[in-house]
Formats: sequence, structure tokens, C-alpha cells
Amino acid sequence: MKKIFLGIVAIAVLTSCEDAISVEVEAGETQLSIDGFLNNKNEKQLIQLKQTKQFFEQSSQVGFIADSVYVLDNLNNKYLFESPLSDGDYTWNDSVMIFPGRTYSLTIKSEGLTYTATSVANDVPVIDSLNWEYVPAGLGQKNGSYAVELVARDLPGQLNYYWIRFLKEGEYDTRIEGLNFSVDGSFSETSQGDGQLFIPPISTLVAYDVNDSVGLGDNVTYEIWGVTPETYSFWQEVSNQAIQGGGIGALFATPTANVNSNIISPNTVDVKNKAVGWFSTSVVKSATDVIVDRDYEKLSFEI
Amino acid sequence: MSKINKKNWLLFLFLLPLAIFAQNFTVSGTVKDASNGETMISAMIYTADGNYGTATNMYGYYSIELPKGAHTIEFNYSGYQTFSKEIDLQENIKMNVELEVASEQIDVVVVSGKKNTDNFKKVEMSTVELDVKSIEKIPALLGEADVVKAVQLMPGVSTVGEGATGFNVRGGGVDQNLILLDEAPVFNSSHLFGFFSVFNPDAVKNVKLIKGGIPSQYGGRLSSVLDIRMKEGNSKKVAGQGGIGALFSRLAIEAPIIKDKASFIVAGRRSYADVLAKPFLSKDFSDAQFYFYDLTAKVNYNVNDKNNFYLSGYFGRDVFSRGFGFNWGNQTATARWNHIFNDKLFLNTTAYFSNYDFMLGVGDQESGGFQWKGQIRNYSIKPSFSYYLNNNNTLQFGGQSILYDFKPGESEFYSEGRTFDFSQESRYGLENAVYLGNEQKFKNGVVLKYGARFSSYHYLGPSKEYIYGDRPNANSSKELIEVKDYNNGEFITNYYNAEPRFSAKFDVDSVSSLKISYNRMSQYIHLMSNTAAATPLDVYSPTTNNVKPQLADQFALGYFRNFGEKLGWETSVEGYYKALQNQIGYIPTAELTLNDYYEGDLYSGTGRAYGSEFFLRRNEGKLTGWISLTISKTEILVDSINNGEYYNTRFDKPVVGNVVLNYEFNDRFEMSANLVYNTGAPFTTSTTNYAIQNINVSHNPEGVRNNARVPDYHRLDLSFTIHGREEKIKKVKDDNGVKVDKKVKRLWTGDWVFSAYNVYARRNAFTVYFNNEDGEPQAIRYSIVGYIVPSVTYNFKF
Repeated sequence: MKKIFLGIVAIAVLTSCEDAISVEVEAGETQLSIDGFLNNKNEKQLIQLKQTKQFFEQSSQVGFIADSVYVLDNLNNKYLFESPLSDGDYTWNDSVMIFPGRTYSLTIKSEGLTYTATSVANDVPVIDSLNWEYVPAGLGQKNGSYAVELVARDLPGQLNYYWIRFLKEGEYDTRIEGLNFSVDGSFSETSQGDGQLFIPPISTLVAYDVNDSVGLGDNVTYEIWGVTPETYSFWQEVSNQAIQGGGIGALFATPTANVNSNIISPNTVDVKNKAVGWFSTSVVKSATDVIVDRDYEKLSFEI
Repeated sequence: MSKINKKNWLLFLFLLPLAIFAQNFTVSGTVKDASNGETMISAMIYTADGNYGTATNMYGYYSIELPKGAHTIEFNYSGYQTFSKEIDLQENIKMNVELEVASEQIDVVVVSGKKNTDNFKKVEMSTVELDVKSIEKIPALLGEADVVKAVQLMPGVSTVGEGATGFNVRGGGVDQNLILLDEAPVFNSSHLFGFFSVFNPDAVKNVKLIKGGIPSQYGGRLSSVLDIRMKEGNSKKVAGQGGIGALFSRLAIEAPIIKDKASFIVAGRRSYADVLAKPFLSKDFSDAQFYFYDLTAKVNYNVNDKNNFYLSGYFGRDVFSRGFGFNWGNQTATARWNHIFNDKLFLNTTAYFSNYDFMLGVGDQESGGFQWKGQIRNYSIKPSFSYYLNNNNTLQFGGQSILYDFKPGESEFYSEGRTFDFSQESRYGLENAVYLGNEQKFKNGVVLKYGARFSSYHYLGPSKEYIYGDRPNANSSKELIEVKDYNNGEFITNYYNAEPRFSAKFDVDSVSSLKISYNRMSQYIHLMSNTAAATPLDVYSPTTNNVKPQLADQFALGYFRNFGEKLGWETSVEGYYKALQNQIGYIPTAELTLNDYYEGDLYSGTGRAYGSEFFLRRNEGKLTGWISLTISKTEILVDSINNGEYYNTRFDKPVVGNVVLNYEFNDRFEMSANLVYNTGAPFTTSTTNYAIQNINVSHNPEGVRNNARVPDYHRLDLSFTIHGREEKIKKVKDDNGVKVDKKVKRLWTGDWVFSAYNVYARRNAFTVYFNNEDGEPQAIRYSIVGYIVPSVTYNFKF
């Protein structure tokens, strides 16, 4: 009765795969998109008005021409933005307009419709210095690269919301993976960062880019932008939307959700007259350095 | 009224007094398989003249009332020799019968002499019964016969795709199926994200799926009942079966404890795919560990003619990790007592325990990390009576009480040697039900089955009542107003539901019938799943003051007809309409896990599902199999989603077609094929995009849900089976001492199953997502099985 089990030859190939396909996506209504991130730097301030575009449309967004675009602060100063090239790029270039603690409201008028948004300019701490250290290939990137750390201490006493931006050779890192936002230099409202030094990974971009790297002689900058809690949530939503991805994670992905807008659109049910986008005002402080080979001021933590 | 009908009517009037005054006696007993002593479910018992008939119940018991006098009574079960006996009925008698398997060489239909009429004769509609033999014939992934995969090939049943946990019946969610393993509910029927089901076919006796006209003894889920009965274990001799496959191996042992009185079965499975498949895995899985195991066991003890005891259990677990720990599993335990009060009254009392839990964790207390455990557990007792009042009326009545214990999240977060507790409150529910139903036969071929179930539900302390106000805006969480504490056993909220059930069958002619049914169902537990398809991490919510019981009303109409000389071709066409109430929807930023305030993130909506199902099946002959086609629509309406308009559910699949064929060349070789087609599942996609600070943001301006579909799903599977010889020639000495050849049964027989899943390597999409490679939006298809999967399995019996 009891016999020895016979042997068996078998091959199991459990395989998942990903490839690009074409999918029919029905057309959506195009809308006004507003991109206005103003700061206290003594440079041209830009609010971009554009038409949203169809999902798979290859061309860039078309500019949107409004009748008037202006910003009022709570001291009743009016900053009139103009689009000299009539391309939807509305600019203010006369003087510094953003000051810590002031509230700003944006008004856009177009064909009898009015769009508004408000934001507060919040202060940020000074960046003491930048540290860096060479990280060999493998830790999240193809090439070896310098990891750059900002040394800054959160402003004590209240919850501060920061948007941290990295620039190499004066160019912003606009990768979705580079989106870096923080509460009190830490992860969230409950992570007790008040008055403390910024912690990694918020303070430190270890893997700059899978294909690019930070090398000797590169000019690098960190900027801390003071943002409102709403703007912090906005970046969170943008980030959440973008990381909806593939792999086995697809099994656990929730449906794509729209990113909220702080633009108040005219009171109409007509989708095409509703605007998307964001208006934000920030105090910005930065530190710039050139990467040189040195054996002091390495990262404050071990990678 | 036609002439014939008039005649019948007069005859009826004439016979009525006779029927009243004629003396009747009862024949009752159990029907068993002679080879292993297993009781037989739905075996037919009828008089040779065709005037009286009944069938065995789920425990093999039958009771039939016959007029005093001589009868030839026949016992019949497909694939078995008909047992026939002449009796002269002068008193109530007990008749326990054992049926012999029909010999392979003789056409089964000839042996039974009985035509295949169940399809149109029974009042049941929207019901599919499968025995393990037919499940084993379907080509399966890695050659492993699978109960749920077989059910998915039936009309009205679909799944979101490979990798989706559970299955959908007539537009119902995966949590709306009452999946019973020996009467204990199984909360998650899937191993390995739905690649396999948790039911070990070696331990399964019978599978019945009820999609409509659900009888009153079942309740607690809206859409279907999948009633799986385990084998009792061979009460005649020690026997075993098993298999060695590419993914896992199986072994089942069954044996008598006391011959013909008590027996057991133990069946286990363990996968080793993570070891074997490692070199072939795509990069997503390269550092992955995944395996599962399950153990199914049962003992039974036939104390005497009136009492039977059964004890059965299931224990299974999936382990899946990739730099983190992730496991899930079900456990069930069922104790049953069958008691025969007298020839007419049969009682089964079941007490069960069922548990589902999962764990997800990373790191540990020292190095930091987190751990999250979720659990749903229930305890129940349900007495159910069958009362065989007379030949025309069989009553079912009983009750059930279920205590639910929900632990949605026991969670700890470890950092710098400290432990932070993020656990959610446990919640409790008590569900009670009583039911009464009658199946009544009328002389002109009309059968009515009617009844009702009355259920109550109590959201129970110790727990909290969360009282919410309005939403600040349509997409945000409701504002919490107050939290009230309740003590142990206090009732927080109560709900009561009456659930009428009705089915009817009318003969159209001698080979066809028309059936209609209506049922109302209520459901007090809710699976919260906001992902593309249900996953093992989905948490059940009890019905609370905020989450109302789900309700469904279903109407179904069908035409059933058999064709062919022996009526071997079964066909049916059914249409259904189902209306669902209190369906859960989610706000866009819903936090369903580790959030005591999740109820504020839920919407409530209504659903509707309708469709038609076409079915052609042949069970006998060399070529067997079926073709099923379902055309349907499944939608949901939630005020704040999709601009308040109906939208497709994630499992809406307008066209689903399956062809399942098996051809037996002879008793040693057979070949099977199945072809599956269904419309691609819907998903939600953005339709426009814009840039903010050079970062791309995608947008769905109209807020439409499930507005695109993944490409259509289709797949072909093939298998070829070589059966080992069951007999061998042995030299034996005859009476004269001369050596002669004699056929004897082999102690061991083995079958080789060669199979190929997804033969033409279609990359069926589980989901489509978008990325922005080089600034250009691209649609990326994610296929869980993207290639052909060949396999060899060796199955054995001894």
C-alpha cells in the first residue's frame, strides 16, 4: 500500500510582464490651468495660464489669455501681472512683492468669469551649510554620485510646512521622485521635528537621478520654500497620483484621484469653466556650493 | 382550458378523495457509495412507474411517502449502477442503500436506464452542481484541478483577472458570495492572489453554486452560495490519493476507524514554487518568497441509525514576502450532529468557528519597522430541520445565530527601541435568523418552493458608536460629532430584515420547463476594497449605525430544455435582474486601514445588475463539456461619484464566454481544452493633463469612474491525461491447480496530466497604468501571466 512516490520532472514559470499598449481614452474637457508659485526672490515672478491638454496629446499646453491678472496683498498693495508676449506667461518684474506673514490673493478675469485664490507667505529657516559625500554606484543609481545634505534647523514653536528643492547647475530637479516636502524638517505633523535639525531623507538627496549624477565641480543649490498646509497637501496629492504604478503593486493600487486645486472657479456647473492648478506664495532661503573633493563635512549619517 | 387539461382536472377531482383516504407509508434511509461508504448528495429515489420521486439531502438522507402496496423502487446516481428493489409496503420501512460504480465498459446511461432530466425537472434554477470528477477534467493552471476556477467557467460568474482574489456572481462583489466549506464560511477563497483556491480537490465531495432562487436556509450574503461539502473519509478500507505537481504536491489519506461506522480523511497541500520558479521569475519577483499550505481533515462517527457526528476543519496559510513579511490564511472548524427523529423529521445541527487573518510587517522592534494584523472571526450555531410532510411537501426550517468579532487592525510601529500602538478598536456583531421553506409539488408538473428568512443584526458592545455630521464638501470625510462608549453585550444599533424567497417550475412539455424565482437577501458584513481588485489585505467592516445592511432583490426567469435521444444535451437560457441597496463607495482620499474613523470616508449607493446567460452542457458520452455565454451589465450609483450617475463596477464584464471540452479517446487517454473570453475590465483613467512647476499632473475633469477598459481577456488552455491501468493480469491457480490469467485491481494507479495554460501566450492585462517616460504619457499593461505556462503533474490513487 505504501509505495515510494515516483519522481517527477516539471517546470514552473510564473511570469508577470509589462509592456506599452495603446488604450482608447475618451476626450476630456479642456480647462484653464494656473501655475503660480511666487517667492520673495528679487527676480521676475511668473504665473502661467494655460489650457489643459488631452492625455495623450504630444504637443505642449497652449497659453491662455485672460483679461486681467493681479495679486493683492493684505496691505492692499496691488501687483498687476502682464503677458508681454501674449503667451499666457504673466509676469511681475518691478520689485520684491512677497514678504513673510502677508496674505496674497490672486484674481484672474476672463470673458466675464473671475477666478481667485489666496495664499500666505510663510517664513523658513536659514540653511547653515551643505554637506556632501561620494556614494558609489548601486545605491539607487547607475553611476556613482555625490549625496548632498542641507543643514538647517526647523523654526521652533509652530508647525512649519516646507517644500525643498534641489538645483544642479541652476536647473531645478523636476522629477516626480525629486518632490520633497516636509513638516518641521521631518515626515509629518506627529513626527516631533519642532526646532530640530532637518532629518534624512528630507535633508539629503542620496540618489539624485538613476541616469544622471552629481559630480566634482558641479554647482549645487538647496532651496527651502515656506508653504501653507494646503500647498503641502497639494504636493502630497501630486506625489500620490504619480506613484500609482506597475509591478505587483498594481494589485494594491487605488483608483487614480484628481489633485485638488485652490483656485476658486466661477459658480458654474460647466466643467469647461472650472480651473485647475495651484497658487502659492513662499519665502525662500537657499544655500549654494560647488562640489569639491574634501574629507570634512561629510554626511551627518551613515549611508 | 384545453380538452386535455379538462381531463386532468376531472381526474384530479376524482382522485382527490382517494388520495385523502389512501393509506401511505414512508420509506427512508441513506444512500452511500459502496466503494468507500461516502454518503451521496442528490441521489435520485423514484418508483419505477415514475409517479413518486425524491432526492437525498446534503447528508445522503431521504424520505419518501408511498401508498400501501407493491412498488419497484429505484436508486440512481450519475456514474453508478441503478439499484432496484421490489417492496410490498405494509408499514414504514428503513432502506439504507449502497450504489456500485458503473463499470467503465458499459454506457452509463444504459445501465441506469434513466434519462437525464434534472435540468428541467428540478425547481432549482440558476444553480450549478459539480462533482470533483468533472472539475478534474478541466485543464487548469499548472495542471491543478481547482474548485473555484471551475466555478468561474460557469455562466454568470466572472473575475477581474489573474491576481484578483475571489470571484463575482451576477454583478456581485467578492464578499457577496457565501462560500461554505462544510457549512463554515470561508472569508478568502484564494491562495496566491487568486491563482488557486483554498479548497483541496482531494478532500472535496460536492460543489454547488446557487446564483438565484436561493432557498431560505441560506442567508447572510447577497449574490450567491458556493456550498462545498467535504468527503467523509473511506469507511471501508484505507485509501489515499495525491499528486506531485510543478507548483505543489498533495496527499490525502482516508480510512475507517471502525468499519462502516467511523472514518476519517486528512488531506494536505504544500507549494514549493518559490524554490522551483526562482530562476524564471521576472524582476518583480526575483527576491520574493511565496508559498502556501493547507490541511483539511474530517472524522465522522455513525453512532446508530438515528445519530451521526461529523467533525471537520481547514487550516491554510499563504506566505508572501519581498523584503517584508506578508501572510494570510483561513481556519475553519465545523461540528455537526445529524439526528433522525422519525421517518419524516431530520435534524442537522452545525456549530462552527471560522477565522481569517493577515499580517503585514517590515523590520522588527530593535531595528525599527511596523506590523499590522487584521482579523475577522465568527462563531455560529445553526439547527436545520427537514420535515418530509408527504410526497408533495418537504419543509425546511431552522435558525442560525452568528457572533462576529472584527479586529481590523492591530498595529505597532517600532522606532528607536520604542513601540507605538496604532491599533484600531475591535468591533462585534450578532446576527440571528429563523427560516421556513416548503417545496410543494403539484400533479401537473408544477413545483413551487417558497419560504422566508427573518434576520436580525445587532451592532454590539464593547465598542464605540461614531456619530457623524455632514461632509464639508462632497469629496471629503464626514465630520465627527460624537463618540459614545458601549459596554460588553450592549446593543448599539439593531436591524431587522424579512427575506422572502420564491421559486416555481412549470413544465412546458416532456423535455422542457419554465422557471421563475425571486429572492431577497441581506448581508451584514462589508468588505472594504478600494483597489483594482480585492486583495488579501482588505478589511471587513461590520454593519454599524453608519454602515447599513446590504440588501439585494433578484428576479430570474429561465427556460430549460434537454435534447438528444437520452436527453444528454442540457440547455438553459436565463435572464436576471438584481437591485442592490446600501453598497459601499469611497471618497477619493479614503483611509480604510488603521483608521477608527473610516466610516466617515464611506459613501452609500445602490447597484443594479442584469443580464442573460446561455448554457449548453453534455455530461455523458465520449465528448463532454459545456459552452456558456453571459451578456450582462453591472453598475453602481453613488451620489458624489461620477456626477451622481450610474457607472460600471470594476467587475462589469459585458460579454463572458467559456468553452470547456473533454474528449475521452478510451479509458486511458483523454484530452481537454478550455477557451475563455471576456470583455476587458473597466478602470478609471485621467483624460487630460497639465503641468505645475514642470511636474505633470493628470486630470479627470468630468470625474467619471471606470471610464476605460483594459484590452479584452482571452485564453486557451489544453491538457492531456494518461490514466494508469487500474487492473493487471495476474497468474493464479484455478480449481484444478492450473495457472491461468486473471484480472485483478492494482493497488496503485497513477495518472499523468500534461497541461498548458495560456497556450498562445496572450498578455492579458490585469490593469493598465500610465507613466510619463521622457515626458510622453504611455499606457503600460501589467500582465500577471504573460507567457504560456506548461506543466506536468502526476496524480495517484491507492
